[in-house]
Amino acid sequence: MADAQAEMFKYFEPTVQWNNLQLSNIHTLASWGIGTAAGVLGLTGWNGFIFFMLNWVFLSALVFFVKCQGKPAVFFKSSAMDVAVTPIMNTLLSYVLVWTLMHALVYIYD
Amino acid sequence: MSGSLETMEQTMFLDPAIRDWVLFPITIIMVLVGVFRHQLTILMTGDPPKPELKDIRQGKALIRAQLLAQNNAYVPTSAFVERKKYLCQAFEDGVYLKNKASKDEGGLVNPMADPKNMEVMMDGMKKQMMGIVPQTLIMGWIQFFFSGFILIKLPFPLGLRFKQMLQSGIMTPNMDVKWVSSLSWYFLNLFGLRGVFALILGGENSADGTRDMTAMSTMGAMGQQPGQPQDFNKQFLGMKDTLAIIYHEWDLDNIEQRVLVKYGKQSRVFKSAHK
Repeated sequence: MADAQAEMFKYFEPTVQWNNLQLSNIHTLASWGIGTAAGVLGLTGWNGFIFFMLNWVFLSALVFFVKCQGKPAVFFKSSAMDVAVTPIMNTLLSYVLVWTLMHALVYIYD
Repeated sequence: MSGSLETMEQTMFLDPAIRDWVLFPITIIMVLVGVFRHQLTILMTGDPPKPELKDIRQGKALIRAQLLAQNNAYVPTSAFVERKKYLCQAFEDGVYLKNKASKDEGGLVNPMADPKNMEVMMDGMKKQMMGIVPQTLIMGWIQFFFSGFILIKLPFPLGLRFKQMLQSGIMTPNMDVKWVSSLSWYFLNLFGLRGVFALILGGENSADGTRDMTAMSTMGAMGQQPGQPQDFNKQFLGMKDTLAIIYHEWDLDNIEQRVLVKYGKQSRVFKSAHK
Protein backbone atom coordinates (compact mmCIF):
# COMPACT_ATOMS: atom_id res chain seq x y z
CA MET A 1 0.00 0.00 0.00
CA ALA A 2 2.77 2.38 0.89
CA ASP A 3 4.56 1.34 -2.29
CA ALA A 4 1.61 2.21 -4.49
CA GLN A 5 1.36 5.60 -2.89
CA ALA A 6 5.07 6.17 -3.23
CA GLU A 7 4.74 5.31 -6.90
CA MET A 8 1.99 7.84 -7.28
CA PHE A 9 4.01 10.64 -5.75
CA LYS A 10 7.32 9.78 -7.33
CA TYR A 11 6.61 11.86 -10.40
CA PHE A 12 5.70 15.52 -10.47
CA GLU A 13 2.99 15.54 -13.08
CA PRO A 14 3.54 18.92 -14.77
CA THR A 15 7.20 18.28 -15.44
CA VAL A 16 6.45 14.82 -16.79
CA GLN A 17 3.98 16.39 -19.19
CA TRP A 18 6.54 18.99 -20.15
CA ASN A 19 9.07 16.27 -20.87
CA ASN A 20 6.59 14.45 -23.04
CA LEU A 21 5.82 17.62 -24.94
CA GLN A 22 9.50 18.25 -25.55
CA LEU A 23 9.95 14.71 -26.76
CA SER A 24 7.00 15.09 -29.09
CA ASN A 25 8.47 18.28 -30.49
CA ILE A 26 11.79 16.57 -31.07
CA HIS A 27 10.04 13.79 -32.91
CA THR A 28 7.95 16.11 -35.02
CA LEU A 29 10.88 18.25 -36.12
CA ALA A 30 12.99 15.18 -36.79
CA SER A 31 10.22 13.59 -38.83
CA TRP A 32 9.94 16.71 -40.95
CA GLY A 33 13.68 16.74 -41.56
CA ILE A 34 13.88 13.04 -42.32
CA GLY A 35 10.75 13.16 -44.43
CA THR A 36 12.24 15.93 -46.54
CA ALA A 37 15.41 13.92 -46.95
CA ALA A 38 13.48 10.82 -48.01
CA GLY A 39 11.37 12.76 -50.47
CA VAL A 40 14.27 14.55 -52.05
CA LEU A 41 16.31 11.38 -52.28
CA GLY A 42 13.48 9.77 -54.17
CA LEU A 43 13.01 6.85 -51.86
CA THR A 44 9.93 4.82 -52.58
CA GLY A 45 8.14 1.90 -51.07
CA TRP A 46 9.99 -0.15 -48.52
CA ASN A 47 13.13 1.92 -48.85
CA GLY A 48 11.29 4.84 -47.37
CA PHE A 49 10.13 2.88 -44.36
CA ILE A 50 13.52 1.32 -43.78
CA PHE A 51 15.02 4.78 -43.89
CA PHE A 52 12.51 5.88 -41.30
CA MET A 53 13.24 2.95 -39.00
CA LEU A 54 16.99 3.47 -39.20
CA ASN A 55 16.65 7.11 -38.35
CA TRP A 56 14.17 6.32 -35.61
CA VAL A 57 16.60 3.98 -33.95
CA PHE A 58 19.36 6.54 -34.28
CA LEU A 59 17.17 9.30 -32.87
CA SER A 60 15.95 7.19 -29.97
CA ALA A 61 19.50 6.22 -29.13
CA LEU A 62 20.49 9.88 -29.16
CA VAL A 63 17.61 10.84 -26.89
CA PHE A 64 18.32 7.93 -24.62
CA PHE A 65 22.01 8.46 -24.17
CA VAL A 66 22.51 12.17 -24.56
CA LYS A 67 19.30 13.75 -23.30
CA CYS A 68 18.27 11.24 -20.69
CA GLN A 69 21.86 10.38 -19.77
CA GLY A 70 21.04 6.73 -19.98
CA LYS A 71 18.30 6.88 -17.34
CA PRO A 72 14.94 7.57 -18.98
CA ALA A 73 13.05 6.50 -15.87
CA VAL A 74 14.11 9.76 -14.26
CA PHE A 75 12.37 11.80 -16.92
CA PHE A 76 9.44 9.70 -18.09
CA LYS A 77 6.90 7.57 -16.33
CA SER A 78 7.15 4.46 -18.43
CA SER A 79 10.88 4.87 -19.10
CA ALA A 80 12.29 3.38 -22.29
CA MET A 81 8.96 2.43 -23.81
CA ASP A 82 7.76 5.99 -23.66
CA VAL A 83 10.86 7.27 -25.36
CA ALA A 84 11.12 4.82 -28.20
CA VAL A 85 7.97 2.84 -28.81
CA THR A 86 4.87 4.83 -28.00
CA PRO A 87 5.45 7.87 -30.20
CA ILE A 88 6.39 5.82 -33.21
CA MET A 89 2.91 5.77 -34.76
CA ASN A 90 2.40 9.50 -34.59
CA THR A 91 5.84 10.24 -35.91
CA LEU A 92 5.39 7.75 -38.71
CA LEU A 93 2.24 9.50 -39.90
CA SER A 94 3.98 12.85 -39.84
CA TYR A 95 6.90 11.37 -41.72
CA VAL A 96 4.65 9.90 -44.41
CA LEU A 97 2.98 13.26 -44.94
CA VAL A 98 6.24 15.11 -45.41
CA TRP A 99 7.76 12.32 -47.46
CA THR A 100 4.82 12.33 -49.86
CA LEU A 101 4.87 16.10 -50.08
CA MET A 102 8.58 16.42 -50.82
CA HIS A 103 8.64 13.50 -53.21
CA ALA A 104 5.80 15.03 -55.16
CA LEU A 105 7.36 18.47 -55.19
CA VAL A 106 10.66 17.23 -56.52
CA TYR A 107 9.73 14.37 -58.83
CA ILE A 108 6.15 14.72 -59.91
CA TYR A 109 5.76 18.38 -60.61
CA ASP A 110 7.45 19.93 -63.53
CA MET B 1 1.69 7.50 -69.45
CA SER B 2 3.42 4.17 -69.72
CA GLY B 3 1.76 0.85 -70.28
CA SER B 4 -0.62 -1.40 -68.47
CA LEU B 5 1.89 -3.94 -67.13
CA GLU B 6 1.78 -3.91 -63.37
CA THR B 7 5.52 -4.19 -63.07
CA MET B 8 6.27 -1.10 -65.08
CA GLU B 9 6.48 2.11 -63.12
CA GLN B 10 3.79 4.56 -64.13
CA THR B 11 5.30 8.00 -64.37
CA MET B 12 3.43 11.14 -64.93
CA PHE B 13 4.23 14.76 -64.62
CA LEU B 14 1.64 17.05 -63.23
CA ASP B 15 0.91 20.65 -63.90
CA PRO B 16 2.59 22.88 -61.34
CA ALA B 17 -0.57 24.92 -61.19
CA ILE B 18 -2.14 21.98 -59.37
CA ARG B 19 0.59 22.19 -56.82
CA ASP B 20 0.15 25.89 -56.27
CA TRP B 21 -3.60 25.96 -56.18
CA VAL B 22 -4.52 22.67 -54.55
CA LEU B 23 -1.68 21.08 -52.67
CA PHE B 24 -0.55 24.02 -50.62
CA PRO B 25 -3.97 25.57 -50.08
CA ILE B 26 -5.40 22.38 -48.63
CA THR B 27 -2.57 22.07 -46.15
CA ILE B 28 -2.61 25.73 -45.21
CA ILE B 29 -6.36 25.75 -44.76
CA MET B 30 -6.23 22.68 -42.54
CA VAL B 31 -3.58 24.21 -40.34
CA LEU B 32 -5.48 27.46 -40.06
CA VAL B 33 -8.78 25.78 -39.32
CA GLY B 34 -7.10 23.71 -36.66
CA VAL B 35 -5.68 26.76 -34.94
CA PHE B 36 -9.01 28.52 -35.27
CA ARG B 37 -10.80 25.57 -33.69
CA HIS B 38 -8.35 25.48 -30.85
CA GLN B 39 -8.84 29.14 -30.01
CA LEU B 40 -12.58 28.88 -30.36
CA THR B 41 -12.71 25.90 -28.02
CA ILE B 42 -10.76 27.84 -25.44
CA LEU B 43 -13.23 30.69 -25.68
CA MET B 44 -16.27 28.47 -25.51
CA THR B 45 -15.32 26.18 -22.69
CA GLY B 46 -16.64 27.47 -19.44
CA ASP B 47 -14.92 26.86 -16.13
CA PRO B 48 -15.34 23.40 -14.71
CA PRO B 49 -18.09 23.32 -12.10
CA LYS B 50 -16.80 23.83 -8.60
CA PRO B 51 -17.59 20.87 -6.41
CA GLU B 52 -19.77 21.49 -3.43
CA LEU B 53 -18.53 21.01 0.08
CA LYS B 54 -21.12 18.37 0.87
CA ASP B 55 -20.26 16.38 -2.23
CA ILE B 56 -16.61 16.33 -1.31
CA ARG B 57 -17.37 15.40 2.27
CA GLN B 58 -19.45 12.45 1.15
CA GLY B 59 -16.71 11.09 -1.06
CA LYS B 60 -13.97 11.66 1.46
CA ALA B 61 -15.88 9.96 4.23
CA LEU B 62 -16.18 6.87 2.11
CA ILE B 63 -12.47 6.99 1.30
CA ARG B 64 -11.64 7.34 4.97
CA ALA B 65 -13.58 4.19 5.75
CA GLN B 66 -11.84 2.37 2.91
CA LEU B 67 -8.45 3.42 4.20
CA LEU B 68 -9.32 2.19 7.63
CA ALA B 69 -10.37 -1.16 6.25
CA GLN B 70 -7.22 -1.49 4.17
CA ASN B 71 -4.73 -0.37 6.78
CA ASN B 72 -6.28 -1.84 9.88
CA ALA B 73 -3.09 -3.71 10.66
CA TYR B 74 -1.14 -0.54 11.30
CA VAL B 75 -3.12 0.67 14.28
CA PRO B 76 -3.52 -0.95 17.67
CA THR B 77 -6.76 -2.69 18.41
CA SER B 78 -8.14 -0.02 20.68
CA ALA B 79 -7.65 2.70 18.07
CA PHE B 80 -9.24 0.58 15.42
CA VAL B 81 -12.25 -0.21 17.55
CA GLU B 82 -12.79 3.46 18.34
CA ARG B 83 -12.67 4.48 14.72
CA LYS B 84 -14.85 1.63 13.63
CA LYS B 85 -17.46 2.48 16.21
CA TYR B 86 -17.55 6.14 15.21
CA LEU B 87 -17.70 5.51 11.48
CA CYS B 88 -20.35 2.81 11.67
CA GLN B 89 -22.51 5.01 13.82
CA ALA B 90 -22.04 7.96 11.46
CA PHE B 91 -22.92 5.87 8.43
CA GLU B 92 -26.04 4.57 10.00
CA ASP B 93 -27.20 7.98 11.03
CA GLY B 94 -26.36 9.39 7.63
CA VAL B 95 -24.18 12.12 9.10
CA TYR B 96 -22.12 12.48 5.93
CA LEU B 97 -24.91 12.26 3.39
CA LYS B 98 -25.54 15.19 1.12
CA ASN B 99 -29.34 15.02 1.24
CA LYS B 100 -30.23 13.65 4.60
CA ALA B 101 -33.90 13.95 3.83
CA SER B 102 -33.78 11.52 0.96
CA LYS B 103 -31.82 8.96 2.91
CA ASP B 104 -34.81 6.78 3.47
CA GLU B 105 -36.15 7.01 -0.06
CA GLY B 106 -33.01 5.67 -1.67
CA GLY B 107 -31.38 9.00 -2.37
CA LEU B 108 -31.28 8.86 -6.16
CA VAL B 109 -31.15 12.32 -7.65
CA ASN B 110 -32.30 12.82 -11.19
CA PRO B 111 -29.16 13.66 -13.18
CA MET B 112 -31.02 15.89 -15.59
CA ALA B 113 -32.28 18.09 -12.81
CA ASP B 114 -28.88 18.60 -11.31
CA PRO B 115 -27.76 21.94 -12.74
CA LYS B 116 -24.06 21.24 -12.45
CA ASN B 117 -24.37 18.08 -14.51
CA MET B 118 -26.20 19.94 -17.20
CA GLU B 119 -23.34 22.35 -17.66
CA VAL B 120 -20.81 19.56 -17.89
CA MET B 121 -22.86 17.73 -20.48
CA MET B 122 -23.39 20.87 -22.52
CA ASP B 123 -19.67 21.53 -22.49
CA GLY B 124 -18.97 18.03 -23.69
CA MET B 125 -21.47 18.35 -26.50
CA LYS B 126 -20.09 21.70 -27.55
CA LYS B 127 -16.65 20.17 -27.80
CA GLN B 128 -17.99 17.36 -29.96
CA MET B 129 -19.61 19.87 -32.29
CA MET B 130 -16.38 21.82 -32.55
CA GLY B 131 -14.70 18.66 -33.63
CA ILE B 132 -17.14 17.31 -36.14
CA VAL B 133 -18.33 20.40 -37.96
CA PRO B 134 -15.04 21.73 -39.35
CA GLN B 135 -14.00 18.29 -40.50
CA THR B 136 -17.23 17.76 -42.37
CA LEU B 137 -17.08 21.21 -43.86
CA ILE B 138 -13.56 20.77 -45.14
CA MET B 139 -14.31 17.37 -46.58
CA GLY B 140 -17.33 18.74 -48.38
CA TRP B 141 -15.34 21.68 -49.67
CA ILE B 142 -12.65 19.42 -51.03
CA GLN B 143 -15.12 17.10 -52.67
CA PHE B 144 -16.85 20.02 -54.30
CA PHE B 145 -13.90 21.94 -55.62
CA PHE B 146 -11.07 19.49 -55.96
CA SER B 147 -12.58 16.34 -57.36
CA GLY B 148 -11.97 14.66 -60.66
CA PHE B 149 -8.21 15.00 -60.97
CA ILE B 150 -5.07 13.41 -59.71
CA LEU B 151 -3.22 15.42 -57.17
CA ILE B 152 -0.22 13.51 -55.99
CA LYS B 153 1.63 10.24 -56.08
CA LEU B 154 2.18 8.31 -52.92
CA PRO B 155 5.76 7.04 -52.61
CA PHE B 156 4.57 3.77 -51.14
CA PRO B 157 2.22 1.15 -52.50
CA LEU B 158 -1.20 0.34 -51.13
CA GLY B 159 -3.64 -2.48 -51.68
CA LEU B 160 -6.18 -2.38 -54.47
CA ARG B 161 -9.03 -1.95 -52.05
CA PHE B 162 -7.92 1.60 -51.38
CA LYS B 163 -8.16 2.51 -55.03
CA GLN B 164 -11.83 3.23 -54.79
CA MET B 165 -11.45 5.46 -51.80
CA LEU B 166 -8.36 7.34 -52.87
CA GLN B 167 -9.10 7.82 -56.54
CA SER B 168 -12.72 8.63 -55.98
CA GLY B 169 -13.47 10.81 -58.97
CA ILE B 170 -11.37 9.18 -61.63
CA MET B 171 -12.55 6.29 -63.77
CA THR B 172 -9.33 4.62 -64.84
CA PRO B 173 -9.09 0.94 -64.00
CA ASN B 174 -5.41 0.65 -64.81
CA MET B 175 -3.87 3.51 -63.00
CA ASP B 176 -1.67 2.63 -60.09
CA VAL B 177 -3.13 3.07 -56.66
CA LYS B 178 -0.20 5.33 -55.95
CA TRP B 179 -1.79 8.13 -57.91
CA VAL B 180 -4.41 9.63 -55.69
CA SER B 181 -6.97 12.38 -55.65
CA SER B 182 -7.25 15.34 -53.35
CA LEU B 183 -9.36 13.59 -50.76
CA SER B 184 -6.53 11.28 -49.87
CA TRP B 185 -4.27 14.29 -49.48
CA TYR B 186 -6.84 15.53 -46.99
CA PHE B 187 -6.56 12.30 -45.03
CA LEU B 188 -2.79 12.39 -45.11
CA ASN B 189 -2.88 15.89 -43.73
CA LEU B 190 -5.41 14.94 -41.11
CA PHE B 191 -3.10 12.37 -39.62
CA GLY B 192 0.17 14.06 -40.27
CA LEU B 193 -0.56 17.53 -38.97
CA ARG B 194 -1.03 16.39 -35.39
CA GLY B 195 2.65 16.84 -34.79
CA VAL B 196 2.56 20.34 -36.26
CA PHE B 197 -0.32 21.28 -34.01
CA ALA B 198 1.58 20.03 -31.00
CA LEU B 199 4.47 22.21 -32.04
CA ILE B 200 2.52 25.43 -32.44
CA LEU B 201 -0.28 25.00 -29.94
CA GLY B 202 1.38 23.15 -27.10
CA GLY B 203 0.42 19.77 -25.76
CA GLU B 204 -3.25 20.05 -24.92
CA ASN B 205 -4.66 21.33 -28.17
CA SER B 206 -8.14 20.89 -29.50
CA ALA B 207 -7.08 21.03 -33.12
CA ASP B 208 -6.68 17.31 -33.50
CA GLY B 209 -9.22 15.88 -35.86
CA THR B 210 -8.54 12.24 -35.21
CA ARG B 211 -9.26 12.50 -31.52
CA ASP B 212 -12.78 13.63 -32.38
CA MET B 213 -13.23 10.59 -34.59
CA THR B 214 -12.38 8.23 -31.78
CA ALA B 215 -14.52 10.25 -29.40
CA MET B 216 -17.44 9.91 -31.76
CA SER B 217 -17.15 6.15 -31.95
CA THR B 218 -16.88 5.74 -28.20
CA MET B 219 -19.79 8.08 -27.57
CA GLY B 220 -22.11 5.79 -29.47
CA ALA B 221 -20.90 2.73 -27.64
CA MET B 222 -21.07 4.20 -24.18
CA GLY B 223 -24.58 5.50 -24.42
CA GLN B 224 -25.80 8.25 -22.14
CA GLN B 225 -24.29 7.37 -18.79
CA PRO B 226 -22.42 10.42 -17.65
CA GLY B 227 -21.40 9.72 -14.05
CA GLN B 228 -24.27 7.75 -12.57
CA PRO B 229 -25.59 9.31 -9.41
CA GLN B 230 -24.01 7.10 -6.84
CA ASP B 231 -26.22 6.04 -4.05
CA PHE B 232 -24.02 6.99 -1.18
CA ASN B 233 -26.34 5.71 1.43
CA LYS B 234 -26.05 2.17 0.10
CA GLN B 235 -22.30 2.51 -0.18
CA PHE B 236 -22.04 3.74 3.38
CA LEU B 237 -24.04 0.80 4.64
CA GLY B 238 -21.94 -1.58 2.60
CA MET B 239 -18.76 -0.06 4.02
CA LYS B 240 -20.19 -0.38 7.49
CA ASP B 241 -20.61 -4.11 6.97
CA THR B 242 -17.10 -4.41 5.63
CA LEU B 243 -15.69 -2.72 8.67
CA ALA B 244 -17.77 -4.86 10.99
CA ILE B 245 -16.44 -8.13 9.70
CA ILE B 246 -12.75 -7.28 9.71
CA TYR B 247 -10.68 -9.47 11.97
CA HIS B 248 -8.23 -7.03 13.39
CA GLU B 249 -4.63 -7.98 14.07
CA TRP B 250 -2.12 -5.41 15.01
CA ASP B 251 1.14 -5.70 13.10
CA LEU B 252 3.14 -4.62 16.06
CA ASP B 253 1.57 -7.06 18.41
CA ASN B 254 4.20 -9.13 20.14
CA ILE B 255 6.84 -7.14 18.32
CA GLU B 256 9.16 -7.19 21.26
CA GLN B 257 9.13 -10.96 21.39
CA ARG B 258 9.57 -11.26 17.66
CA VAL B 259 12.66 -9.07 17.76
CA LEU B 260 14.14 -11.10 20.54
CA VAL B 261 13.53 -14.32 18.68
CA LYS B 262 15.03 -12.85 15.53
CA TYR B 263 18.26 -12.02 17.31
CA GLY B 264 18.37 -15.31 19.10
CA LYS B 265 17.81 -14.04 22.62
CA GLN B 266 14.60 -15.96 23.04
CA SER B 267 13.68 -19.38 21.81
CA ARG B 268 10.19 -18.74 20.55
CA VAL B 269 7.28 -16.35 20.69
CA PHE B 270 5.06 -16.86 23.66
CA LYS B 271 1.38 -16.14 23.30
CA SER B 272 0.88 -12.76 24.82
CA ALA B 273 -1.22 -12.33 27.90
CA HIS B 274 -3.05 -9.16 26.75
CA LYS B 275 -5.02 -9.39 23.57
